[in-house]
Amino acid sequence: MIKLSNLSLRSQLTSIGLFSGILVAFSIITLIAVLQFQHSYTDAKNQLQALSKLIAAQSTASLVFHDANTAVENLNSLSAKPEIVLARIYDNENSLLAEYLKPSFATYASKAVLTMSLERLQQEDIDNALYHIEAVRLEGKTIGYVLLMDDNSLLRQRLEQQLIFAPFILMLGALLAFLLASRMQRIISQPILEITKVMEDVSEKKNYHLRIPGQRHDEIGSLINGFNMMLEKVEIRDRDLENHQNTLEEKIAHRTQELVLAKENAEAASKAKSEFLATMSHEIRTPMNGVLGMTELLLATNLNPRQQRFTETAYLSGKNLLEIINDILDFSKIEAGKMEIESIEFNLRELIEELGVLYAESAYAKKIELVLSIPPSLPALFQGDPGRLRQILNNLLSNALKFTQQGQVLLRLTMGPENQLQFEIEDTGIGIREDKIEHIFNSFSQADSSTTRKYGGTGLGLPIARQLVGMMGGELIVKSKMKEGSCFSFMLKLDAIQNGDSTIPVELSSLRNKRILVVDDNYTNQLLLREQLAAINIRCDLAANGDQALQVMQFSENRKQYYELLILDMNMPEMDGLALAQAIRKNTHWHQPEMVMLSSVEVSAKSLQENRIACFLNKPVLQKELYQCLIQAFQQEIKTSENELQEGVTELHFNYPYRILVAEDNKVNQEVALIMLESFGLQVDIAEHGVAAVEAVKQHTYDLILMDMQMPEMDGLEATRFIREMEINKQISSPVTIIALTANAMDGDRELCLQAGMDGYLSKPFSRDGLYEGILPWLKVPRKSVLKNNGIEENDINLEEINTEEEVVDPSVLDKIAALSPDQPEALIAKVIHLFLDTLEDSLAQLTEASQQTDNIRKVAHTLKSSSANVGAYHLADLCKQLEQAAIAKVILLLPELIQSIELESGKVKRYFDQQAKVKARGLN
Amino acid sequence: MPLSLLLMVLCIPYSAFATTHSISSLKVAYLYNIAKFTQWPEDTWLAADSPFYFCSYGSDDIVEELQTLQDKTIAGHPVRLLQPNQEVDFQLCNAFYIDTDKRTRYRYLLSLINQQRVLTISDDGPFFDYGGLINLIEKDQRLRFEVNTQQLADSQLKFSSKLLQLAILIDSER
Repeated sequence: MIKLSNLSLRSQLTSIGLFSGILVAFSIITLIAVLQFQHSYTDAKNQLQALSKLIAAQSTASLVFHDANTAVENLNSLSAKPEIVLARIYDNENSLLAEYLKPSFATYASKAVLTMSLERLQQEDIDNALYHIEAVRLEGKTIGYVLLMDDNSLLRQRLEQQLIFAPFILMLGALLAFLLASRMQRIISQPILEITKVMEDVSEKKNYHLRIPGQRHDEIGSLINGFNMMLEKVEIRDRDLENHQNTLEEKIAHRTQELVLAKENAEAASKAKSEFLATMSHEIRTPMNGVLGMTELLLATNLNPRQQRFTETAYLSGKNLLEIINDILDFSKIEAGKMEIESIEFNLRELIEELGVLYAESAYAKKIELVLSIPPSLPALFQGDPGRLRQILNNLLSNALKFTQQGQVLLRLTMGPENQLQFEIEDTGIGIREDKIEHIFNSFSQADSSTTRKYGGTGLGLPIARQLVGMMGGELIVKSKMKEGSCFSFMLKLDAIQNGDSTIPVELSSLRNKRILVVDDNYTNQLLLREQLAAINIRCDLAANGDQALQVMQFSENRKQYYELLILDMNMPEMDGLALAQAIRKNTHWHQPEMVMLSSVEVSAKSLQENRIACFLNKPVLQKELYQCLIQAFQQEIKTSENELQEGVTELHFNYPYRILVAEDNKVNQEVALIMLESFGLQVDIAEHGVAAVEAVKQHTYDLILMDMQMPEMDGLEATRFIREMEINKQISSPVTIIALTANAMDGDRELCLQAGMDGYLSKPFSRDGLYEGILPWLKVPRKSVLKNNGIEENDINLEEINTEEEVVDPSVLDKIAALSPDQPEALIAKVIHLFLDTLEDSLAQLTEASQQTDNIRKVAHTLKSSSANVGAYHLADLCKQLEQAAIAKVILLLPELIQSIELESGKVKRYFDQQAKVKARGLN
Repeated sequence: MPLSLLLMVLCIPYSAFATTHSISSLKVAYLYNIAKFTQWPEDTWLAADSPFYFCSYGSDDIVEELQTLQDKTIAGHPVRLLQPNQEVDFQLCNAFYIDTDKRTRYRYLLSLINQQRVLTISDDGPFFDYGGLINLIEKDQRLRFEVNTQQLADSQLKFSSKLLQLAILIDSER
């Protein structure tokens, strides 16, 4: 069924009108019909009554005299009334006297009606018939009855007539209603349709100027007015909005201009600041280079103790100043957001152990135990920023050492899940009051200003460390208790780089079942050693002091379970390591174990040799050194001299006088560089500026160029580009290594250098060590210490000669081996050489076979490396090392060339030993 | 129960009377009913309760039967039966039945009364020849009555039209 509300308004209104019209028409027709029926009925009844009375009156005499004829005559007069179908006269005994029956009625009237007695007729009604019984009275007495019956035919006829007309009237009514409704609905629907149309127009065309016409005073009128008013308001608002938009654009443009200006200003200011910093650092570093370099060189000359002390103080002060400047620069960089974190491969263990070595001396000077706790299973290589990590640990370690008077400083590294590395630097120092803990991270502040006075320092170290840790994705946390110590810890996520190279040397597997006793009074050190040994599957027993150690030794002697190695701490209360060693050696009837001495200070080689100490290790104990030491101890190779080799200025030396060009405009720096490089045994040329440098490169072939960045005429970058261009054009023969020298400690320089075609980067001022390390990777392997005296003198000697004659085998190594067996040195040497030659043959054979499998090559090279070194064939060892590294790095292209070199060198070594054998044979003979 | 008896008598058809009742009683009923449909001049009675003198002359069954009308009313007045002997007494009569046997005395008797004011009735005789008003006859085995229209027109009495409808009208002049 269609809902009315779904139709259009027009239809709705028309429908309502039509419906009402029809309803009214229908009601009226029905009412009229009913009324008329009622009226006709009453009428008929009255008429019937009247007729009855008339007949009754007329029939009195007939009844009195029982004259039926006259009565019938009377009744017959009723035929004039067609609706009267039956008339009867009864006498006073209810017997029929006269009857009139309409002929038409006689045919369809039921017998029952016709035969019905008067009494029954008086009591009952007959359907479809109207009748009346009138008593006939004479002088108050009833003398008979008259019955008249009307068959309603007139009534029915009238009703039928009306029924025939009713539909027409109804239709007419409906038609009229429809016409009226459809005409009248326009009064209401027309304006609403207009409103709708205008609304559609407005929403379609967004034309708010439209208005609905027409003036009315009814509800639709107020609707129209309301809508018009709304449109007006929208129009006004639109206009306002448009105006606002126009002005807004202007405003935005204006603001943007202002902002751009402000931004440019800010950028200019920031740039100016950066440039200022760069300039300042350059300006300060350049003279610092002179001061430090010259002081260092001065220290290397012969000075009397007084001069020595002054010079050292001057050098240290300079270094401190440089550190402070570096701190300030770092801090500025961090503040400016210019600090960049690198992600390169580095060896974490080496980094920490280097730091340990660096601080070992100052720790010892303060009688503080410096302990490095690194898990033995730590992967060697990590991806990260070693420079910044070193800086953080540096700051924290120096801080810990600075504020610790006694006890120990512990650097603990633990590995967590998912490459999380936990660094902890724990000290037993003065501690920090709880309310000052946050304060120490504020720039330029320490826990207390009095602290600053007492301990010195800029107070930048910790803030820088914290910032750097934050930049690496960690958080520097401090726990501290007054008078008990502090613990700085942070967690970093560094990706370990897995390579096949285990940090544990292969030889160590042979040590598995050795019994070892560790004697150390420091519990942390004990545990550390035990862990390091456990990592290579060596179990050890622990002793806390000399007496305990001796008891343990005695006990083991009794049970015949001898210790094969003792690791002794030099500094122990009551009985020190040396005394303990002496005590053990005195007990000659005991099984004599090998001994390794741990100390933070040098112990005279003599006393070590006297007590047959196989190896001496500096504290803190480095894993690599410990393992090497163990191997040495069990191979009975006493290499105490190695410690000496690492000392002194003269150790930094190259075995060949490479030709170096220094392009530097500063006279002092020229001098510093010249002296330092010459002290490494290198040949040095100086160029005043870039142009001169380019000229020099045209004249000579250089192995390396140290290029200052900022020079007059032509700066380092341009000169480098020039040189690289010449190389491409084949104007100079071989590519030359160019390393930048810069006092600009900003990171941006590094990029510039590399873009210009430089190979490396050295920051000024540089120490001798720094310079050596900076250029070392670019030059060939340095000469071993045994040749140090030959270095400068042999400048003119042909490289070939050195390699063929002097470099093949270092005889001193064999001499030392010989010293191990004073009784039969020749036999031992012969045996060693024999073993070596066998190994050599094997290795060479394997190398030729396995020329494609890098893993095999690596193993063979590794074995041959250590074997060669043991017999003093250092050059061969070096070549093997290169091969090993190439194999690890999988630089397959290099392998055949290196193997060839090794074969060549092997030939020389073999020839050397052959000659030696011949010489010896001749000597014997 | 005299009324109901009368009604019963009146309503029984003639044939029934013939055997069970004497014809005279039917004739008396006729006399009574005719009197009922007759209107007398207004000044006939002095008072409302003045008696209606129903006179009779003769000695037949009808005269005897007339006794049944005693205590009935006609035109609102109580009926008093009277058989006048004195000439003066005849003056009192309102209705006057004359025995048919006394037809020889019709002239005399009618002269004794004011003919204009008295309903005169006879039974099957040459009554109209002498100025009688109503004469009972038997016709088609039914009892009917004749009315002398000449006499009626001269009379001061008025007959109901319904009575006239039933009557057999005789014009005595012819």
